[in-house]
Order: sequence, then structure tokens, then C-alpha cells
Amino acid sequence: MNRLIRITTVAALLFALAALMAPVAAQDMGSGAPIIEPNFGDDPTTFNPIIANDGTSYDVINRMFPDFIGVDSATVQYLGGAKGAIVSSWDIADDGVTYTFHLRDDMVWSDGAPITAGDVAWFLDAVLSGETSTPRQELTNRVESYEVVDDHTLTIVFNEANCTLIDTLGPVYPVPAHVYEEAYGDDYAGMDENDYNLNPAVTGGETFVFSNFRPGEQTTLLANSDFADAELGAVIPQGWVFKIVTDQVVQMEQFFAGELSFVDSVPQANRDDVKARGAAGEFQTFETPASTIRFLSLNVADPANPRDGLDEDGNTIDQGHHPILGDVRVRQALNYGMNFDEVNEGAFFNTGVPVASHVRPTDWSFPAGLEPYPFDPDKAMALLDEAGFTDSDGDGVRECNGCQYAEAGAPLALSVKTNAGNTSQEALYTILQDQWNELGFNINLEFVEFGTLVSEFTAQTYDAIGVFWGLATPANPNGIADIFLPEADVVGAGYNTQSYNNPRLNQLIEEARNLPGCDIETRKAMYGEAYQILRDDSPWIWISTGNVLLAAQTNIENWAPRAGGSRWNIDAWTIAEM
Amino acid sequence: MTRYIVRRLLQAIPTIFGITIFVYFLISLTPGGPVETLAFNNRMKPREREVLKYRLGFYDPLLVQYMRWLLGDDWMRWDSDGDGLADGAVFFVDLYGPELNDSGKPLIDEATGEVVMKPLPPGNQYGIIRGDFGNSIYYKRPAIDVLVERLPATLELGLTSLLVGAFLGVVIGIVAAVYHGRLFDQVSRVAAVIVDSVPNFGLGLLLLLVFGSLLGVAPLGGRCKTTIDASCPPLPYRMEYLILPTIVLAAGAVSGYSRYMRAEMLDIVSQDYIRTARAKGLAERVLWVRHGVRNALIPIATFLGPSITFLLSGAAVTEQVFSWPGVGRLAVQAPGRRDYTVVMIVVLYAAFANVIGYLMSDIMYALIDPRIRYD
Repeated sequence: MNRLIRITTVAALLFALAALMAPVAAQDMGSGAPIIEPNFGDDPTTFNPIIANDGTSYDVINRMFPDFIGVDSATVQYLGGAKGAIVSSWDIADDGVTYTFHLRDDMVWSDGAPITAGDVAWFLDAVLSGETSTPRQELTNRVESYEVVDDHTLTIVFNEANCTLIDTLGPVYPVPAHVYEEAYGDDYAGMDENDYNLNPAVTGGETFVFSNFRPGEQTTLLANSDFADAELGAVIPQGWVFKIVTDQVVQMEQFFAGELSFVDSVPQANRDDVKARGAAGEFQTFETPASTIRFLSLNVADPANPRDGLDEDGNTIDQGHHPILGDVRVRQALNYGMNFDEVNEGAFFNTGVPVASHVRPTDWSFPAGLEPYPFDPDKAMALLDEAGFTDSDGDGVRECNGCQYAEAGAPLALSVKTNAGNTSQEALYTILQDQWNELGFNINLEFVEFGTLVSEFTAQTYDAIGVFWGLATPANPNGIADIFLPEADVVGAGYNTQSYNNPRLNQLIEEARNLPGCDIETRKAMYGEAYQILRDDSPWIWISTGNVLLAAQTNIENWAPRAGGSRWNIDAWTIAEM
Repeated sequence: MTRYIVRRLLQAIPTIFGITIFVYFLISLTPGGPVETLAFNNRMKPREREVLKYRLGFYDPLLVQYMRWLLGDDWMRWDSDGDGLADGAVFFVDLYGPELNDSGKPLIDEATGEVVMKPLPPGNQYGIIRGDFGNSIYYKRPAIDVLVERLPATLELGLTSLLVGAFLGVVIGIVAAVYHGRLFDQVSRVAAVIVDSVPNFGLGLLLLLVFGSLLGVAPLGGRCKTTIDASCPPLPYRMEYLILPTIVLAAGAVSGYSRYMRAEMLDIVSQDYIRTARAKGLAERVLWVRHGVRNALIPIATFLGPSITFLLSGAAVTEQVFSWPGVGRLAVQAPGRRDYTVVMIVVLYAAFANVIGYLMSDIMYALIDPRIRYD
């Protein structure tokens, strides 16, 4: 009997545990139900657009603050009068540096106060004070002065005329000056520590307004009843929940279970499945070019003696030569030796798109005819022979036998590093290691913790480092100036870490930036030549961009993604009963 | 006992202090800093990155950085005339800092050939000694706030797992000992080996996929249902969210405690005094429970210390899989971002949890074993 009691007790305990697993109520999404979007990251750090510096914070800020200058969702170009933006149009004075912005008069904050030029000026006041931790110091370098002409007119004077000034204003937001004045006053330096950053009382001008923030869990916004640009006259979803889901497998399972409204980037491992199920009518799907690019930076300078690109007077400083990668033929051989099809299949599940430059094929500056290097191992080996790297001892690894910069007999050995923990990066470089070793290289592949990798990257002490980078949206071709001009070759701080310097490229970028009249076709031709130089000189190996797959539940009506993403009409998304 | 506890807590202070020195210098010497990691963005100019480094004090000597964290810097550089700029400083910190050019290098005055200097703001930190744990570099707010926000979730999961793990482990161990060599014993032993062999990450995902996705009887992670509400409802209304992560965390404890308890019980019942008791006609139930269990629990109490430490400090892998908003996730993310202040406060918290864990072990020792007295 005692044994029976004990067994019964244990069984009862186990049963009690199992009983706790009560069926979870299914997410019932009716019309006007909130949109639930996964946040595969961490908490937003602030809801203050002046000091925001991370993508997650921007994801939230963009839903509840109007843009200054908006982006057209179809063309992904800056546009006066774009949805959710305060600028309706702008004029450029003959001097080329004075811009007059005309602002809309139908936008209000959540407390009913109108959104005016003074709200933009408050943002600029704070940023240009130089006292905040804002990452938008670029404005300080560009804006000479600004003036609130009236509530709906703002004049900004830049310190020089060039064709990228509107891009400079991309990260400007109006902020509710009457509330910020009270919350922050003129203590710009103390802005980071202000509790208001995560508890904004007044937002608005966009689809939603702030509701609450649950650290580690979610951020919730509610429909903005005063949103002036609502597609259907009013914001349909009750709210928007940005929910942290820290594991991609779990994120997709939550989507499959209907707990998430949509996924903005289906992981590579799930793409075929989601596409197939999308074709069968289980989900809505949409494919669009990704805004990231994978590259391998090749250090062309002496890694043992990293130096800045320019001295205090702006003169170029001799960078020395990388013993192996200093020779352009070796860099080209690496390109010819890359079998992209094999890489695409092995590392990207065939979702990669080969690229030849730092722009997406869909960007306006992309030149027709700019092709990635073809896979041609014979040509790669011929280039290595020509460069003086031959395998004289028959061990499969080439040595320097008359090469330009390495010591005689030195093996053709390179250290290639990429960030640890990213499976597609690890797969990519493992495949490339094999492909390049076939050519006679001895590639030493290392997977390095991200912070350490960035440290080596900026210290310029590496041979080759592979990472991937987000591209500017809207596309800004002048971005290559921050990567390939000698001004950006600053040890420890600049991103021309490969110490590349080509006078013709420098000239083209400068001219394209400052072209009088900014004729788009002329600039396109200039950038086209610049991209061709970079492709041929190959200080980077541009490897791949790709398409991202977006997926949404079938019960979301009006989900109609465009080139600029899916959220452009989130105010009209109607979640019907399934 | 009270004096013993106070003495132990006082003894812990130099230990914790030593830990902070070790960890602070270790993480500071790690390649890469928060600016490189957080501002890995080609649209940010060299000058902007350098300004951030100066602002965060990363060009100060390491010892000064540590002192700032420990003792604050309001006494290192001060503003006596209230103009917002420092006008006095102790000898080992600078009163002026360099203006930077576009490359982020000190700006040189063309006329004099000297670096253009500007007055620095006064120190505004009080140091952990005065309760100021500094601001998180990543989260841009007090590190103590970031930690405290995560504590309820970690305590909720940690304590539940500890109770379930210890209780089930001890009970299973006792039953396995009583019926040693029989079916229950064999099954529990095999189960313990299997559970020990599966990593938490795998077990968590497996449970989520089976019970959450396939059978649909458990939530797919999170701490409560996703709604637009400002907070999770009280625990009794969301118990289902606690079950799977509790099973994952408790599984290891159950297997460990059960095997140890079984071994202890079998060892004890073979002792002479048990044989004597049995020979004197003591009932088996009394023999097992009063003599066996109580004595077997003494070494078990040793395990509780590290268990408490582990569970209070958060279980990073389990929290990651279940999107559980606890301290463990924070502890994993902070070093990668070089968020030194958060790393330090998590280390302090873990060290404190360690001290408390082992102290509780010792107290339980005294409660269970009448031979042990601390006064």
C-alpha cells in the first residue's frame, strides 16, 4: 500500500506539472487588431530622435515621429510632400547653399499642438550645440545657419554647395519643441540621462503614438487618430507591438502559428518553405533587394606599419605596400578565383546576387555593363604567375619568385578573418578558402568575435577582413567617399581601412559631389567610372547582396510592399478574422 | 548565527572588490571598444567616433577609468564658478582636452604649431561607492535601471526552477534509493543521463517545437501574452509561460540532485547506526525518512549555494531561446557591445548572488546538521 501511495504521489506531481500546460488561447486578430512585428534584436535605447543611434530605436521612432524630408516608397528617393513627412517642397537659391523648406500645416502632435518649423529648429539647436551624444555630427560640419521664417517655412544655409545636401538632412526629425523645452531645457549634455527619452509624453505626426515600453519584451504604439496621411481616412490597426523574439527559429514558429503579423526578413533557412507555402496561399510573400552588401576588404598597405592617409596639411602619406595584396594582380586573381555559384549554393541557399560595386543594381547610380568578375581559375593562375607567385617546390602553395613586394621565397599566405557566430559568413569564407587554396594560396581562416574584428579592421593591421554592411536608403553614391578616399584613411577611426588611394577616383568622387547643377546623368557617368575603377583595382572584393523575402499573414488586407519596404501603408493594414 | 552572517558579509567585501578590479581590467584590455562596436557605420565620420571616445573617457589611463567607476569623478574635475566648464582638477586628470579636426586628430593651431585645447566639462559621476553605477553606454541610461528591469523575470524563473529542480531531484533520489535496483531506479538513472546529455539550448528548442509548435499546448516563448497592455499580468494568470523554461532549467538540477541523493541515501543506510536502528526494530519508513533523508540532505545543501548563484544570475541560453527578459540575456549581450558599465553591474550582482548563495548553503548546513554551530 505504501508503495502504491508513493507511486500515486509521484504520478500526481507529474500530472500537476502537465496540467499546468493548459492550452494557450490562440491569437484572435480581428479588424483593427494590433500589428505584431518581431524584433530580432534588443530593446530600443531611446525614443528621442536626436540621440538615437541604433536600428531598433529608429524602427520605433519612424512609426511615431514624422520625417523632415520623406522618401517616396515606390522610387526610394527623397520627395517633397512624401507621406508622413513635414516638408512639402523646397527651393534652392542661386547661391546653391540656401535651401528654403516649405512645411505642411496639417500635422499635429498627439497633444494637438501643430508641428511647425520651430520643432525642426529645436532638433537642429540640440544637434548643432555639439553637446549631445547625437551621431548626427555631420550636420555640424555642413549647416552654416538656419532660420525659422514662419511656422511653416524654414531656411537652412549650408557651408558649401554640393549635390548631397538633401542626404545630409535625411536624419532630421521635428520634435515637439514645447514639450522638449520643458523636459530637457538647454541641458543638451544631460540629454542621455533624461528619463523622458523612454517615456515620451507627446509624439505624433506619424501612424502611431507612443503607448508603453516593456524592457526586454516589447514596445507598444497606439493608432494616431490625428494622422493626416491615413490611406483610408483613419489608421486602421489599433496599435503596433514591436515584440522581442531572440531566436530566429522561434520567430518563424511564432509566425507560422499566427502570433506575428508579418516578418520583414525571412531567414535563409526558411525561405524555400515560406515561398512554397506562400505560393499555396498560406502566406503573402514579397521579394525585394536587400540593403546589405557582403564584402572582403583587402589591405593594400603595409599592415605592419598602419598610417593615416593624409598629414595635417592634407598631403598624402606613403602607405607602403602589403607584401601580397599590394599587387593588384593578386587582388584580381582572388576575384577570378571565386566561384560564386558554389558560394551561393553553399552559403546563401541560392539567394545571393553577385555584385561588382558598392551600389545595388536598383540604385540610380548603378552603371549598365558593370559586371562582377567571371569565375576563371585559369586567368587567376595566370595573373598569379605574372605577379611572380609560382609554386617552385610543388607543395601546392605558391611562393614569391620575382614578386613585387614580398620577400623572395615567401609563401602566398593570407590571413582572412570574419565575424564568428554568423553561419552564412562562416560558410562563405570556408568555401572561398578552398577555392583560393586551389589556386595556390595558403588561406588561414579565422572566425573572430565581432568587437575584436572591428578593432583589427580599424587598426588596419589585417590582411583581409570580411563583414557585411548596410547600404544607405535612399542610396547615396557619395558614400564610397567614406570608404575609399584618403580622408577616410584614419587609423583607429576611419573606414578606408585598406588604405586605398587612387587620384582619379578621388577626383571623380569630388567632382560628382560638387557638380554645378547636379545633373543626374553627368553624375551617374562619373560614379560609373568610379565604380569601374574600384572593380578593377579591387581594394574590396564585393561578394554578394541578395533579396530579402517578406511574409505576412493572409488575413492582413492592404499589405502591399514596395521597393522601400512593407510598412509604407501600415496605417491601412486591416487584420480580418481568419 | 547573526554575528556569523555579518562576519561573512564583511569578509565578502574584499572578495567582491577584487573581482571588480579583475573584470574591469580584463574587459578594458579586450580588443575593440564600445565606440568601434556601436558605431560600425560608414556614414559616421572619424571625428564623430573620436569625439565619442573622448566623451566616454576612453583616452584616460585605465586606472583613472577604474577610479571613475569606483569613486566617481566629481572630485577629479570640478566647476567652481557654475559656468558649466571645469576650472579645477586633480593632478592625474586633464583640465583641458584637444579640439579635434575632421580626421578626429587633435587640431593644431597653424600660428603657434600647438594643439588647440578647450576646457572640459566637470565630472558628474559619483562612483559605485556612492551608489552611482554609471550609465550604460548602449542603453544610454543608468546601468542599475537596466539591471533592475530584468531582475523580476530572472528571479521568477530562477526561483521556480530551483524549487522544482531541488524538490523533484530529492524526491526522485529518495524513491530511487528506496527501490534501488528496481524499475524506477533504472528508469530514473537512464533519464538522468539523457537529460544531462542534452544541452539546454537543444532541450529548449525541442520543447518549444514539440509543445509549442507541433502540439500547440504551450506558448512559443515570451513571459506573457502579447497585448498592447503596459505590463504582464500577475504570475498566476500566465503560468503557462513559465513551464517550458522551468523544465529546461530544472532538468539539470533534477538529474543532479536525484543521482546524488540516491547515492547519499544508499551510503547512509549501509552505515552501522542504521543497521543498529533496524536491528532495534525501527520501522522502515521512520528509518528512511528520519535518519536516511535528513542525513543525506546535508551534502545536498552544499549544492544549493552554486545552484542559487546560477539561477539568480540568470540562465543566458534558456532566456535567449525563450525570449525571456532576464539578466542572463543582458549578461551575454553586454560584453559583445563592450558596454562596460552593464558588464560591471552584472558582475557585481553575480558576485553578490554568489556570496548569498554560499551563505545560504552554510546556514542550511547548520539547520540540517545539529553538529554544526557557527556561534
